[in-house]
Amino acid sequence: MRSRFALRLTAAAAIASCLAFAQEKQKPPQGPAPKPFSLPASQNLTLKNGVKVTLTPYGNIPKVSMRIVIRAGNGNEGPKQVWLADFMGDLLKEGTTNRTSAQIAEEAASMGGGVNVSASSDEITVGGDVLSDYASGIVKLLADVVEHPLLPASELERIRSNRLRTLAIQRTTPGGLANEAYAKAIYGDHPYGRYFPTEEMLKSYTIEDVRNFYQANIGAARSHIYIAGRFDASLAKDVTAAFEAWNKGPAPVEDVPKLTAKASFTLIDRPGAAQSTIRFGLPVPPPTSADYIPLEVTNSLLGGSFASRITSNIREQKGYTYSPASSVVTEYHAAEWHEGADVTTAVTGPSMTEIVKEIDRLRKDPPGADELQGIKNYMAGIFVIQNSSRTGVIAQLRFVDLQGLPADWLRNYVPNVLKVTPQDVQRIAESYLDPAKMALVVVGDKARIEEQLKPFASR
Amino acid sequence: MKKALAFSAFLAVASMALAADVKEVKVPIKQYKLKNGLTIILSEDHTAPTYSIAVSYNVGSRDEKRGRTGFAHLFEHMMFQGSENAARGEHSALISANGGSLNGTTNEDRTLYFETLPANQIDLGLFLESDRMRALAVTQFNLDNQRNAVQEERRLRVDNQPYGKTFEAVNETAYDNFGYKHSVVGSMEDLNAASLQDVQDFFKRYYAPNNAVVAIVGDFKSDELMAKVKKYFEEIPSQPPPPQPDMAEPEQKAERRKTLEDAFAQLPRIDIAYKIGPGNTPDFYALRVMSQILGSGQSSRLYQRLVKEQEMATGANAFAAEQRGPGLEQFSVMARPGKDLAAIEKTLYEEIAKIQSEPVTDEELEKVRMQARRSQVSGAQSTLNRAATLADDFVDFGDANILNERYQKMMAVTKQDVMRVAKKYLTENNRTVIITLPKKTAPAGPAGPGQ
Repeated sequence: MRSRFALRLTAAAAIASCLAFAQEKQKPPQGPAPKPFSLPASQNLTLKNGVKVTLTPYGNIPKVSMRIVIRAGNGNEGPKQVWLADFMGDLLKEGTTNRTSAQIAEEAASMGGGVNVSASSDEITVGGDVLSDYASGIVKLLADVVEHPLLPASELERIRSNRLRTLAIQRTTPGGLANEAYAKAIYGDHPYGRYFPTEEMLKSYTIEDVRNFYQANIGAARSHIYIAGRFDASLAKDVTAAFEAWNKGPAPVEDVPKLTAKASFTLIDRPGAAQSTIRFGLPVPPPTSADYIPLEVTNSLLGGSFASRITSNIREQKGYTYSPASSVVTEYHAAEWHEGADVTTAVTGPSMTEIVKEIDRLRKDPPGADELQGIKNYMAGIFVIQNSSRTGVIAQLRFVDLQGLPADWLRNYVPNVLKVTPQDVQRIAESYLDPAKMALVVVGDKARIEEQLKPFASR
Repeated sequence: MKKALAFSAFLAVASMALAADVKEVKVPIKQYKLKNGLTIILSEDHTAPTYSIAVSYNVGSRDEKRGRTGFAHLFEHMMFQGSENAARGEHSALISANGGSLNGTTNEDRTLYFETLPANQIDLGLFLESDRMRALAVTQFNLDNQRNAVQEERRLRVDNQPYGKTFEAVNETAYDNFGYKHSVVGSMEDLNAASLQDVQDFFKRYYAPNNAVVAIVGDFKSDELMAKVKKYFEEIPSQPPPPQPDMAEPEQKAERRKTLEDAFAQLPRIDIAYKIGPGNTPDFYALRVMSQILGSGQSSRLYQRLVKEQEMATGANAFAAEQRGPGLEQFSVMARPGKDLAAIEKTLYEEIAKIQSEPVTDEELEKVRMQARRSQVSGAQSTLNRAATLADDFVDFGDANILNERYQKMMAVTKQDVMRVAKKYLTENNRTVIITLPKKTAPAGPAGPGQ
């Protein structure tokens, strides 16, 4: 299931709003430039069937995190197969040719962990976190789960009814409805544009559909295994032994959407809604672009951090909304930027006016050096803190691998953030964030907001 | 082909220099004392360019006087309201603006403050913590404001929660000594009575460097860091050592029993507490092993008997609370609708009698050891966890190294130890029974403010 609307920068939610600085007080120490993010050298292997392996010794704590990242996901579904990848993921845990479903759960629990499977647009992830004593145990267990699943018909109806319930709940939330319409507006007929299945689709999936999806998409050639933590030198041999006999399977599909920024307006009626849920954005350069890191900095300054301009404006000064945030959301070699907010119904139009005003202001004038420096410190800090864990490290490594970024991308991330100038930010905003080319989705009380939104309906 | 691959892999790993056993938790600890009596504990970890700082003050609700309950916790809130060189709100703003996080927490035995920040901002953490240790900005506005916040917290967590009053009733009934008898959050009346003078006196008496410990874990060089720590903290004047409360509990002579009605509770519940000794003792670790076998998780004896076999309860737990002073061994069972609490209580006593008279099994002991290992590892997981544990263990037990030893202490517990502590502490005269029954009438809404 897609989760692309998760906020990446949320740490600042507790800042008090007014700062009355006393006179003659000592200034807080500035601190030197942040250190670059450096990882201990990983060991990289490619098995003869194409499985890639990255082993990263990390930290002092005797735990191991393992993720099998399979280069297939919702993006590999057909137009009538939405969430079929999730069905398959749910069924992976329900038994193998060697272990029953209960045995998988008990074995994982006895190692101090669990088996987790999830599907996103581009990847299916099978993972577990265990004590170092059981590093080779989790390798064997997860290998069995991905290589020899039963995908039993007996569990299909339970999984179907869970998914139907999830769909029904998500479709009642304004955020879910807004995300669905916005994905369609940005990605159109590409699989990334299909956010929810229909009820009919979910009811139609057979065990053959699930098994066919597995056969067509899962195999050694699409898999990359990441292990981080403390483990013995012999673990590489265990990984090789557990995965080298796996079928090679298909090569990854290259299906990069061709995107054009184009104004559109979608108003979804939710009579009586107290708030209007806004998504406002457009396609932007992908992570492989030289402008990507400057774009992330621009996003943090414009709307992606607590101290950002849009947030200061519509939350702190105007009080229109509690949790506005902009973000850059990436897929494989694709990305989009959007501002998202739930604003009070009566000020839906004025909120949009302020959002557009802040974007235009940044497109016209570079930000002040101090303002930008504060944002860069924040980004450097968030980057190192979020990545200072086994799972954080794996998340970064797999991002770099999925996008095909250079090996030194992570090491250079903080220096590259710090290099961004006020002029860069203005240029990025001007080049890529044109409100006249943005898609606008609003979910709210149509009778009360249609008139307010007229100026934005046709840009 | 295959062999060549495996061989090259082996070589690469062999160069990865992991000399120590990868399965052990060994947190390196350096301990210092400044001239003003402030204890500093440093633990280097160069895994990532971040660090955590934890400051634990040797003051908790156990130090509160009658008529001033809830004061230690109220004071914790005041510590975020500004100090001489950090305006109101600036402390959190500076931490967040650098990507960090922060919080504070109060319990019976101590008050703890902590931050996580990028390593290049090591001065910032020292600056902020030393500034509020040296010169807290105490104003009537801040006090009134935070008094309201704490009273809201009490309504939210105690007055407006099912079984919120049950937790207070257990301690109130079981303890004779006022130190642990009253709750951390305190009473509305006492919170209303707190004055600005109280805050100033409390700060001077308890927030002195000689009554605190600073633990820092993360990416720094200890020698360089100590020079900075001295610069920021060493000039803060020490104070006379604060009075230490006498936590002694008189021997209990008979069972105590109380029944509450709870407007928010849906199911009847029984809580049974036995007075035990302080934490970090051989008896305590044996009680912890016993608690896990009886009532931790779905494979535990109480869950299997009361929830699975007899289907009398929806949940059953046993827990040995670790305190500096006398703790409590606590059992709690939530009854299924229509089930008899007296029958549940009887079954509980049968299980207690059994663990007093028959040794636990090898499998049960093994499972507890596994759990102990997991909790040792997860307790040391982040730099923040480590810093907080080092600081707390030093304040509570005078020994920061317990983090490295707790697991071995659990491992040392034998079957005989479990039987011995079960017989010693789980006696009829030593127990307190609190029954909570759903109130028949529907709740009229959130509880109103106290008088």
